[in-house]
Amino acid sequence: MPTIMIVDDSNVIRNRITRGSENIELEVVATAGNGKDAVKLYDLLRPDLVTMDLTMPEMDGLECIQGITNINEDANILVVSALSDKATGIRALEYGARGFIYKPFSDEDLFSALKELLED
Amino acid sequence: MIGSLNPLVRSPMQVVNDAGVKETRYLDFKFNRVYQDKEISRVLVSVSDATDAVKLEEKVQHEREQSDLQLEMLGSILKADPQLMADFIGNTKNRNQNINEKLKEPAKVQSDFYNKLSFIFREVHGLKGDASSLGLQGFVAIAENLEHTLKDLQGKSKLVGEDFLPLTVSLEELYNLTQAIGDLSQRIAGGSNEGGRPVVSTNAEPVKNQLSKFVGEIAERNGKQVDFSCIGMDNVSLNIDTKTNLRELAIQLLRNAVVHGIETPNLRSSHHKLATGHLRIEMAEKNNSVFMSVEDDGAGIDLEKIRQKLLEKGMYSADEVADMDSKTLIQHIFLSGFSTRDQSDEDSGRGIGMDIVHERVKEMGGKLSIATRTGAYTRFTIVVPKKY
Amino acid sequence: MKEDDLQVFLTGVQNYFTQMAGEEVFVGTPYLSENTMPAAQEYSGVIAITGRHKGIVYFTSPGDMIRRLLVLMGEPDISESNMMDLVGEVANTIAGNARKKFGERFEISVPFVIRGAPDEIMLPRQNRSFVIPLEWKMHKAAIVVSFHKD
Repeated sequence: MPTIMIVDDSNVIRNRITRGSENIELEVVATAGNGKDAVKLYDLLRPDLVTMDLTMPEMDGLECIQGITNINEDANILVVSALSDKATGIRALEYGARGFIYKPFSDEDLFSALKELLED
Repeated sequence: MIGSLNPLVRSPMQVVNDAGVKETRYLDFKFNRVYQDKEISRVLVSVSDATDAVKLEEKVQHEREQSDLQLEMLGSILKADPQLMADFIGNTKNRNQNINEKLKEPAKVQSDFYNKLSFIFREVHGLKGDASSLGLQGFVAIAENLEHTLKDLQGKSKLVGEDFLPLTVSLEELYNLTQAIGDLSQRIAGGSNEGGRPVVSTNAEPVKNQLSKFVGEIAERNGKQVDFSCIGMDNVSLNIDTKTNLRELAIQLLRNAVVHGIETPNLRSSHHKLATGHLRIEMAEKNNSVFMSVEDDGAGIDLEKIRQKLLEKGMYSADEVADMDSKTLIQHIFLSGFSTRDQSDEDSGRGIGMDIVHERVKEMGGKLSIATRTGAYTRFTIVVPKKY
Repeated sequence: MKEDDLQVFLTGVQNYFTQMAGEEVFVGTPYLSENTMPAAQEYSGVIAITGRHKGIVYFTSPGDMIRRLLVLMGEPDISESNMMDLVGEVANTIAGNARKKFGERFEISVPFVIRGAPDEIMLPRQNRSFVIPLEWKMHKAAIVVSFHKD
């Protein structure tokens, strides 16, 4: 089963993405509430997929993406964020994210995005 | 010479910045010739970014415009009687609050929404009249904008909360402007104040002066000649509420008299009347009641026009309308939305002047009566209990 | 504040409810509130705005509405901690979505969730805020917008 790590400062969102991941047979190996923890956990566990929020305390999502791609430039990161300006979207991809879905998202939005990332 | 030929000064250019976003920057291009053996071998182009200077100038320009508006208002404040200005500010603060409270009220069914519109319209219309009589164009502009939006909304077949957003935005402008004018007023009062004595108005008849000015302006705007007499408006002592209400009613009636009542000089002459019309407002008290009358020697109430309007609105059939006597016809001008004038402008239209008057007099516990003769005169008389 | 600036938040909250609750939220007629008496329900999720604009945006809601939303999302744990979490997340989502219009210079903080209304530090007492009243399943909530362009 492919593995996934969920990064978001909201517990409610972490739980939701967890439930969603389990529904499409992904194993949730870790969750993190800030970028710092996420980078450490990534290094330790090397999950196949990562979902990444951008607005987080201590270390924000973009810095975290940098941290993770430094460890593994092929890291499969899906940004899940409310920040809807074009510049942020472009920057996230430049930093190394492989996909982007906007909050508020439906379960379908999440599933298709995750599936797409797995296929690549 | 190359400098003066150069059109590329502060040229706006679309540039993609570091963050990947397109933005407009203002660039200066300078051209310099490079000579070699007395011939021009190259032209050096230097580019510099003048965006900050441009943005600063825009800001200064904007602030200058704001200052002009403030200066204009300042002029009006200085000209007006301090008591009248204070009344206006107090009134307007109340109006703003009333409008806001109405917006705050929960609304579920469609009629709730439409009622809000009507209520707000009445407040705004009153505000427009007050502001206009004091020459406060800033307020008049906002009020007209509001009336425009309100009219559009009233015409919609279905209303939602979202539709009211422009009203709230305009209301904030009103709050800010009221605040600004209040501050300015206070500073002026403070300035001409020595040792903290209250400012005494050197104007013995402020209401008469304000109304005379008001009538003069409306007459000019509408091409009428009016001889205005004002009796007793400053003499009768009243509480603030009654004073305010009657003054607002006076403004409505006087405006109607000049706009609808008194005819143009040409028309008057052709009817063997003096070119200058007469308008008289009088206030007196008797037996715990206050009487206020507004009389003009104009065209009188045009009963035919009322008949026409009633027919147009589909309210009655041609037979019913022909049968109506003058008294019944006159009663109809108190209906909301009724106006025999076709377009609206700062001075009238939108057909709500008379219905406000009627309602307001009723609210005050008073009576409104009309006497008129077609082609000759119109007289409105209001009687209200003094203690109201 | 201009009309289309406020419209962004109105549309944002409508979008949120349509997406997350599967139905339309009822929007009432917007009004102003004096910051001496800010509009507030039980919980407020506050987002501080910095950058080109300065001020705050907050989503204020009764506990019952939040509990309902949690259940709708499939969250089994409806503790107060999760309730406050969701209030913050709603505010964050709406503020983040506003960047579609305002751009990246509209910088938003992580959400700050409190009981009742934001205090004086967040809402300068002499100003006014715009309140967009909401109603969903008989519960009343609001989005309150209080910022200005610098």
